[in-house]
Amino acid sequence: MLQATNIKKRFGDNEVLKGISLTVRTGDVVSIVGPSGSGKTTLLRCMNFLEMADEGELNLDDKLYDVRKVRKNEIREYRKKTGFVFQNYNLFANKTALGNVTAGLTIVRKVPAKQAEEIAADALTRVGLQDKMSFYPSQLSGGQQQRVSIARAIAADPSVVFFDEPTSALDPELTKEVLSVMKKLADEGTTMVVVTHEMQFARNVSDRVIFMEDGTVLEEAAAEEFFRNPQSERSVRFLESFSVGAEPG
Amino acid sequence: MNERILQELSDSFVKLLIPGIRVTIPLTAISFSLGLILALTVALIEIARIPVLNQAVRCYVWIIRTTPMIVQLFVVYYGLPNVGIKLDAFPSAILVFTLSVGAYCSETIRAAILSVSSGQMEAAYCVGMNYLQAMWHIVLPQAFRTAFPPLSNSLIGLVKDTSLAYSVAIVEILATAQRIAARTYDYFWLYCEAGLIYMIICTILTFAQRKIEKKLERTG
Ligand SMILES: Nc1ncnc2c1ncn2[C@@H]1O[C@H](COP(=O)(O)OP(=O)(O)O)[C@@H](O)[C@H]1O
Ligand SMILES: [Mg+2]
Repeated sequence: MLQATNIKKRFGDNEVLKGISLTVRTGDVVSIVGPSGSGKTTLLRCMNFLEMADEGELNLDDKLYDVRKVRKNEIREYRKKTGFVFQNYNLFANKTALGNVTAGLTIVRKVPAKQAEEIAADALTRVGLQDKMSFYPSQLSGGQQQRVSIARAIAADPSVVFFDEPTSALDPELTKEVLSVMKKLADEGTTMVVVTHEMQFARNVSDRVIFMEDGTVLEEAAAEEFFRNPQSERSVRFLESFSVGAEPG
Repeated sequence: MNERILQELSDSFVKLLIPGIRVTIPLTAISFSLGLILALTVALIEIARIPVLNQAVRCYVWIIRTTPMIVQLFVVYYGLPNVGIKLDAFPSAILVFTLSVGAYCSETIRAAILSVSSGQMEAAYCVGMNYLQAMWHIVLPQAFRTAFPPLSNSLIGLVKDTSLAYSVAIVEILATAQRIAARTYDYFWLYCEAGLIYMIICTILTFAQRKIEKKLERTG
């Protein structure tokens, strides 16, 4: 279980997160939606210490981390229990698909190479890339790269996986293949926090939806509830912008 | 060009090749290896902006870049004994060439490291790596590919610069050519031949560079 309490972050005068709290239960899929610039990426990054929040607490699997006092080795322990999927994949360019997945196992967790390769092959199979293991990132399509990065994030069986707009760099066809992998992981019980603009995914795959605007959580509800019956004027307008636009249903 | 000169040149070719193999190549190899370690250290200090050390290495780079290498050689070999530090010619040359490689190549390596996208470092952190693991396993291998061509140029430059060791009485290719020519007065031909030896060494290195670059391109 992941619990964030009162996360605050400012960049200079710009107060980007104004005290965010959220809870992600084990096995839950939580989608974070909201207009661009509302602080979704920053929140995700603060929840993995890629950005240091100014204030707040994180509780992962009953271990408490005060962001103001957390030490470097505590951050590494925390990160070992989480996975992160970036919008632009950030695959290790000098490593094959397999090498991307084994790196965290052999280098960080000192898993013997042979065993690490078995685990990595298994993770790559779960994302449907069993026949691309020896390919370098530059030899893979965007969708395949993102699936490798998902395999990298899940290989060590993390307590929670963060996704920051995993499909927004992809065209619709490739988006579909990545979303279907994510749905499969969700069905297998992976705990996920997903920042997304894919409303279909948020509605059909996630258990709960968090609607963020201007550094605050405006609304939090069960997914179906949020889409059927949005509570605030802002969330209504936000959802309208999707149904009116090119977005199908 | 008559037969006597031709005969002499073919005799002297081996005589020039020997100091090439016994002096120029080891001098280059040792200085370049040590110099690269120094350059990497300097680059990492500058990137991490370690206080005090950062100022110190910048001062070092500044001194090396703004003084001629032959002056540095003179200071180390002929000058340092005055302050009680006596180095033989060979170690003096190694010291000066190493410092030179360290200064010039640190810029190359620093730029190459900075050219690796910051997302690579972040992704490495996300799988649990610490700074050194991320640098060593992810960032530096990628920086190396970028830095390889300019570093190869530095290596070839160093091969030629080692001829400056002549000025501190190291008997390398040029000094050997001069000794032979002092006897035969065929300065023109012998100095050309000395140049030829450098050309051969540098051409071999250039071919090796091309081969390695091709190989680096193939992976990823
Ligand atoms: N590293 C940064 N430095 C300064 N401002 C930033 C930085 N990262 C994000 N911001 C600002 O924080 C706000 C929220 O950004 P972000 O978290 O990326 O929003 P979202 O992901 O919801 O689009 C924006 O105003 C953005 O300009
Ligand atoms: Mg964002």
